[in-house]
Amino acid sequence: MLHVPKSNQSWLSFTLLTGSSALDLQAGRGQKTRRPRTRSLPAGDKALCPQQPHFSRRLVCGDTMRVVVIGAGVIGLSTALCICERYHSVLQQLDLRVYADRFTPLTNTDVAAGLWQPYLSGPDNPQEVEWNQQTFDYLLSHIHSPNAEQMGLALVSGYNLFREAVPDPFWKNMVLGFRKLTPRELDVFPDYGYGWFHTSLIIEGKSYLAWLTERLTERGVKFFQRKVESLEEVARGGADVIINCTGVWAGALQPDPLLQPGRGQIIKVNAPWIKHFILTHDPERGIYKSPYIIPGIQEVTLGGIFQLGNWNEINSTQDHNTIWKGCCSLEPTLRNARIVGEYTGFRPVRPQLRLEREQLRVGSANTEVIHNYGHGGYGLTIHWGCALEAAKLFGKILEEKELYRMPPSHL
Amino acid sequence: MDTVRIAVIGAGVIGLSTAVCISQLVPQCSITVITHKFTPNTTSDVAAGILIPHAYEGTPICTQKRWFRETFNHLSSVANSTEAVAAGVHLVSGWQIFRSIPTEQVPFWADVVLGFRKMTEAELKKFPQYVFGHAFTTLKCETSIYLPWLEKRLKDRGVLFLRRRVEDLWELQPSFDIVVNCSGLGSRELVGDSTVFPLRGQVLQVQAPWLKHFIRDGSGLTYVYPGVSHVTLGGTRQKGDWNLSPDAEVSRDIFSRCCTLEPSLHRACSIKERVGLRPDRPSMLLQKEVLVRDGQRLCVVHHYGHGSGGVSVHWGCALEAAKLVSEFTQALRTPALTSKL
Repeated sequence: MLHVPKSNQSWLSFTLLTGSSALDLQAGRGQKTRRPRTRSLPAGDKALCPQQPHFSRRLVCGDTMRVVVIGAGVIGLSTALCICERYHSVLQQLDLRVYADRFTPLTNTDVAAGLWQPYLSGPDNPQEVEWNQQTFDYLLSHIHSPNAEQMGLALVSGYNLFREAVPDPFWKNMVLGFRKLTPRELDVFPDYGYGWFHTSLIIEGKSYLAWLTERLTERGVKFFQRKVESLEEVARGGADVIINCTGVWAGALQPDPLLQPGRGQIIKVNAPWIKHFILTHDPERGIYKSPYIIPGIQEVTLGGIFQLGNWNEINSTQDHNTIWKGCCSLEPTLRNARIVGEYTGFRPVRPQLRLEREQLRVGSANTEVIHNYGHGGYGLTIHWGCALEAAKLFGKILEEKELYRMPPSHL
Repeated sequence: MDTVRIAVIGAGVIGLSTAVCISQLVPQCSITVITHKFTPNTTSDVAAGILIPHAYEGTPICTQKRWFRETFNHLSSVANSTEAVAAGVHLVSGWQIFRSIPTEQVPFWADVVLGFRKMTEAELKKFPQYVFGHAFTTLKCETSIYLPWLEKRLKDRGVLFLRRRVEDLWELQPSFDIVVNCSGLGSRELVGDSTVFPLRGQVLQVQAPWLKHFIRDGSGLTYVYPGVSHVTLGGTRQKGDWNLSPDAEVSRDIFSRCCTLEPSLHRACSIKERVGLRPDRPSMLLQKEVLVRDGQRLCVVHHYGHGSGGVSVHWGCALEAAKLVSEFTQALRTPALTSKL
């Protein structure tokens, strides 16, 4: 009998609980690539399996697909949910688990204000445009659902302010009611000479992660608090597919010189009279370095810090003063606001986000990896489009393993 | 110069703002606010206080627009000042929606509010039963905060407050030279004006902090107005109804209508029912009158009958009322004019 490491034993017992036989598992291990060519079966058709006796050692339909998502921020959890939603009924056994060092409220997602807004300039990767749109549409479709509150979702309108005229952003038709500011509106903001007004959404990280966790738990997804040291470790543990959603810490699993922390600090205040977001922009200083005010469901987030390469997790007094001074200058009523919290987070900054497959050779087998990290300061803004894409890549993996036919299928 | 003694009857938004304007315009005067109802028990306290004007029949549109503009500009400067939070004044954006295309597609006040435009098709999707709408940014004047703030401003200027129910204007003579009647619905009894009648309004004040936009049905009967401490859901317009107690059936109806506009309200909590009797009148009364009795004269400025639109025009009207008081004051100080009063 093969020596089974402890983590595998827990997996073993998990699948034993769901009725697969130990024989299947032992036979399955280490034989991922040496599968005999078979006639493709319609997805999920249990009745066909017993009629394929030459599959008795590897019941294609009855295989457990073991998926590990590393990372429990918005990217990890939404990708996990998207895959569950799309493939749960297709696969006999989808064993999906989430490994993470940090869970809500300690992730970077929790620090984000949660305003849906991509960067001002078009992304290098044109696919990101579609992913942003898909995310906005998906969230907007939930605005009237009873889930909206638990998801931390709300409509919000507001101002983007500039000192001089700028071109319209690529996302102007994704949001609602986009227009330029009128002269009288600009009078409210004496330091700025140009701007936009539109209606967007907020999706509050803390609530959304709690909601995603609930949805995943309902579907039998298990969560494990552990610090993953390498992708190999997870592969050796028996994972068929690893989804790497480790965000700003992805470099620890696989060096990525393109990935850097974009440190942010925010102050949360109680200021219920503030009903609009106000984002200022200083093209010379760069994104997120100019004051911004974003009302959430209960509290208002004040920010304006972006420090590339700074890994300091402690709140800085200097940054506090920068934020406070900048935001009070923008919105003097904030001087009456009560401060209720202050947080630091690290945007996973990358020239483009990384969303692609990779095969990892571990021992004699290949483990499939889907990378989904590097979303900078627009993770919440783009998360669902990326989750859909990651699910598509997952579907391709299933196709290649002949466990699933991607629609349209015509057998 | 003798101090002119001025009594302001009524401490709703009209009484208090008129008193402030008088204190700013008329030199050497003493002002006393006399009423039996102060905030939070005035009609104004029930109003959501959003600045969207009501059309007053009998008043020229240009006058209404001036009143609204003056009120909007004044509150704008408050909103931009350090007093904004203490005064309960803030900007709010939202939508006014119609089930059929209105005859007047652009209201007279469109260029007073900020960023007024027609709603886009995509925005209208949020309101499936509606075919047309306006999107704009306006001000909200949370009366439960604004009124105490006005009172404090007045007290800081030495204005006196007297809690007393005035039954007859002549009670104020000879203690006062000028009486400013801002008694709203009370004018029916106080001055025997039977054209003033209550337009009963019931509202719900709920907790729904995720709502950042106002929504108003074009008819004005159903609305959702998010404020500082609560969201106001309304409403009703019940002519001649004096009942100050909330009606449970009416509350259910208001809630149901508002949930149609904004389904997320189903999870609103902490629901409080409030009733206010709007002081309605065929036209608002803002004019001077000199009462004469037994050789005695009493200068009166009537300032009441604002119906559904009091908050939206209060400052513009108060400025005009203060001007009328000032005319009286000048006349009183000029012996030649006094005999002509």
